[in-house]
Amino acid sequence: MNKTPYICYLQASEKRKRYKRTIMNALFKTYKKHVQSSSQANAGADGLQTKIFRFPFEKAVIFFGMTWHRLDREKTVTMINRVKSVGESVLFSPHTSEAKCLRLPFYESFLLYRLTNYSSLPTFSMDFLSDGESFYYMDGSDTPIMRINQQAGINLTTENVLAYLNFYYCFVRLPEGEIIILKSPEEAAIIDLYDDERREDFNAIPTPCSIEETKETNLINVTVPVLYDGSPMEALISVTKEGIVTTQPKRMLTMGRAQ
Amino acid sequence: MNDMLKEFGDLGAQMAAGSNTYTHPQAQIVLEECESLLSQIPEGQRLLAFSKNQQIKVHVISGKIPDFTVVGDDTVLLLCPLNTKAVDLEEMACNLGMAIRNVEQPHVGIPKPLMNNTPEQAHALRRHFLDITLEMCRIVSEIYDLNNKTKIVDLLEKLGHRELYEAYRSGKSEQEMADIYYKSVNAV
Repeated sequence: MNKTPYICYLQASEKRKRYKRTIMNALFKTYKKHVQSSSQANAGADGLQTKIFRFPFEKAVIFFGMTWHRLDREKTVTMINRVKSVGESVLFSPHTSEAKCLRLPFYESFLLYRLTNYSSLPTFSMDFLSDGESFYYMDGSDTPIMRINQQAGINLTTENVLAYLNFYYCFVRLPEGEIIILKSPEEAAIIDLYDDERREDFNAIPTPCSIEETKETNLINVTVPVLYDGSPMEALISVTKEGIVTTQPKRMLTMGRAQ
Repeated sequence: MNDMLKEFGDLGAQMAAGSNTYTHPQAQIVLEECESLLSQIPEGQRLLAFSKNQQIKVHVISGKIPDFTVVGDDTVLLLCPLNTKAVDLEEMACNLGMAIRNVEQPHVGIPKPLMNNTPEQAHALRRHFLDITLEMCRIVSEIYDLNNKTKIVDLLEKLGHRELYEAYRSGKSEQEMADIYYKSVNAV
């Protein structure tokens, strides 16, 4: 996947700055709303077969450190040798490239790797899932993710399912178009066209949100606001323990209210 | 490219099978359709001729969103999602046109900027992006004149360049368009 798309640099900066300003305001408002709503009693429906988590998620969701670790030169060269060529052209050279990796809370042996060529304009990056030996290029489909889920296994729980979904939608383009889990329905009005920083916030917590684990069906059902091909929707996302994601848009949302 | 040639539709089994290479499974068809569209507009014809003369190599690789980058002096990477149903041909063709223009820039007196923090390079970088953005307006405008489809114009507006595009359409001078562009990228 091409990180920091070239076309992103063709945006008027006014739009980018406005976005950052508005999102801070929106988040502050959302935070205030959370404080109010979390003080109200939440009946939940905890039973033997089902666990339900609602806000505040600080108690229910494990935040993992989004810290990229830069690879040393030797490992970088090794990685480049594995992944560098596309036909005749050389994408990455050790002198102008940098590799880094990020641990994901739902994989034990596989990390997310990013290789960046700083000599191209703008910088050009490709992302891979790798155990250090095999590198799976994140090509926009869910094939590399599913392959790793099957071969190496995935540890999905109600605590890390949101991180997995944020990661999944960040790297997979579905036939319906792009899907982003929104921090709030209001965010749909201000989210930017190419804001990778926002999309790579795997710790983003949506509100409202419910996470239900059903043992009978072996599914984790997540109901959250999403941007579904450009429209704010409430969606029911079902995730199997193997990491297969099914997204069902349920209803349109307008500034926090269902239509 | 959902509304274009049928073979440019869903990848079906190819997607399911996965691929160990970066090359898009339908690279040849993607490239042919982009070139076909560009060949129908004046600026596209000029760019394709330049590309042929300079023997520019174009690789279509799979990626999450339509995009492009230039590697070295003569190699273009065009990124296209595997599921081409969600991709607009106009956007892909525009990306190809901008990528070729990117390669062309040093040949028309626009030096390739280096990523270092000097006033000269900052100027070169601004000049580079102004030129590419104007090229985008030019291609979008000609595609719109060709087929009256507004999706590619909408994309340009989403990037925040409505005013620049309108200036281009209304025949404003390069200096006037540069003023509009710099105003938009420097605005707070």
